[in-house]
Amino acid sequence: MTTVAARPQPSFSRLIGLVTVLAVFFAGFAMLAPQADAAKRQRVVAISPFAAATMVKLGMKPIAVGQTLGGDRRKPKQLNGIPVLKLSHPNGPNLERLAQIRPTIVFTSSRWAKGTSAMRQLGIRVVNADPTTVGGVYKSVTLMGRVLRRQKQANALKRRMNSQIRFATRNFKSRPKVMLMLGVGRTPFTFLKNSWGGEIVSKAGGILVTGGASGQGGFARISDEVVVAENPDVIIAVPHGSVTDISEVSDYILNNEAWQTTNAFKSKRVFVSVDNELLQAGTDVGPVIQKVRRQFLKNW
Amino acid sequence: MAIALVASFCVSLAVGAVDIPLSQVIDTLLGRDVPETTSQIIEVLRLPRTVEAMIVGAALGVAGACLQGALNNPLASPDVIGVTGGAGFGAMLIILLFPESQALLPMSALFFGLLAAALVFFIGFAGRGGGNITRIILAGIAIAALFSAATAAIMAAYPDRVPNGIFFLVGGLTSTGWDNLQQVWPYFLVGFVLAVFMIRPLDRLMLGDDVAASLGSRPRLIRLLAALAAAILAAAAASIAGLLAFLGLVVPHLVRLMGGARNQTYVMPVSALTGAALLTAADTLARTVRAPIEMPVGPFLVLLGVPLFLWLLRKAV
Repeated sequence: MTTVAARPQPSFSRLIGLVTVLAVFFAGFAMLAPQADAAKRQRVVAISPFAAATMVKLGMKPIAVGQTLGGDRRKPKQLNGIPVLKLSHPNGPNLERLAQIRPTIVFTSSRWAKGTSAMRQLGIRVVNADPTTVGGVYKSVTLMGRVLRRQKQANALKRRMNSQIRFATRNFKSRPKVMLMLGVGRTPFTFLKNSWGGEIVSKAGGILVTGGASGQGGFARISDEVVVAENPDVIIAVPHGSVTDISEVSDYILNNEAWQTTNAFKSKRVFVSVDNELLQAGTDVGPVIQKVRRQFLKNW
Repeated sequence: MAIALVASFCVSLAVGAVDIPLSQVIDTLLGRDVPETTSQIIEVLRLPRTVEAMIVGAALGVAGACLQGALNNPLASPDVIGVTGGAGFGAMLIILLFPESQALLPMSALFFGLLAAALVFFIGFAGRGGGNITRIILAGIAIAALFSAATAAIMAAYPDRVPNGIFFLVGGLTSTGWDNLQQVWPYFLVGFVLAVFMIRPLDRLMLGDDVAASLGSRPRLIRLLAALAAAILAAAAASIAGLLAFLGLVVPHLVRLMGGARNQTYVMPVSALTGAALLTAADTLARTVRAPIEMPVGPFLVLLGVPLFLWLLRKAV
């Protein structure tokens, strides 16, 4: 009796165990399957270069990306071959062409806000992902992770950014006065502290010189007299415009007679930054800070 | 002119950055089954934009006719009563200072356009000697200069955002679905109705203030109401399509040169048709010449309008 009664007990408990394992497996599968399915269904267009590069870092690829002004050298190679949408004011992409590729999500920029309303009428989810500050980069990565259901990858990316920034911002010997100039045509503007470039230079150990100018826009036109009076140790010029204009703008900035008396000119510390790194936010904050220190603020 | 308008309407719907066979365009309009993308492009993008172009063109044509009649001045256009300067300021305020609030752009342009006109009317019509044409025009020039200076000041303060505003300053339609029209259609309605009621009084005003007064009209009131209709129409037009004052200036002249008649019973309705046809055609060119890039419509309007205008002018002389 005891033998007969004892036999079914282990098989019953085994059965319970098997059912539990299967239940856990199916529950896990059920939780993951919709996400994988949803991720597959998403047809994402990344208009801002930031969004396109961040998608790659989150392990996804957009179906189309926006055109990049000022060169593609910062574009991840995983984006090669992906269709590029031409952008023009005020809508950004041509909305007929956009409708034709049937995206479900568009990561855009406030610069192209005029086109947002029509995109929504086309049934597209429009998400602004084009930060202009380091803090904004973290927020945008979180947002994109949520929208693309890649929270885990987004959190990992943020942790990586943290450690890269920590590594890039240690051991400053001294802090030089840096003037960061944006060249649009023949009119130079100064980067202010609230601009992307201004924040990067400050984190790279420079004291950003703005001649006391401030404003929400991030840039200000300041007089050459102020440049001479502020006497920066380093001038970094950032030409803005199409690739073909960059050399002309650089020449103009490098040969500006009005700035010849500054420390920066006398010590030949006038540089040109051409890769959009000081203009366009990215998740590569740490490497960009390191590059600025290595190329423009060496020996400080 | 009605035929030209119908033709420009059809071409505007049929061509764009994406090639859509004409049969599918017709099927979409008739509610037949077409691919979803096709119906979206026609219904959400092309149709609203074409309708916008027609209404804005008609409004500017009527505004120009009203003003030239009311001020008895062939150089009168929405610029003269400050509307263009005010609307430009209102739009740039949103584009440069509050770029996240683009939805407010039409209302801001409309508000400041009407505010500028109200200031001009107050200075031009109030007090002794009010209603004097020279006084109205000079007040308009002063107020327009004031708003232009304010616009330049905010542009200088936000240089990196200026490219976003250039499209508006040069004049251009954008594909925003029906949003813009939903916001400002009541202003177009009021402006058009008021303008229609001013046709006969303006005809009487053409005979001169004294004759009009002897016929029981009140020249000062007619001038004020006609200018008000023009201000409402021009401000509503600017809120959607930016600064296209050229259309308001040149269309009534085109109409007079084409038809010979100078009375408002002829000039005003035909100006509406001509303005609508011209702007619809120019907008079609602007969005297809360098597709997929869209150009501002202002230069194309000038490109189409000026040769026609000069040709008619030469014929007339």
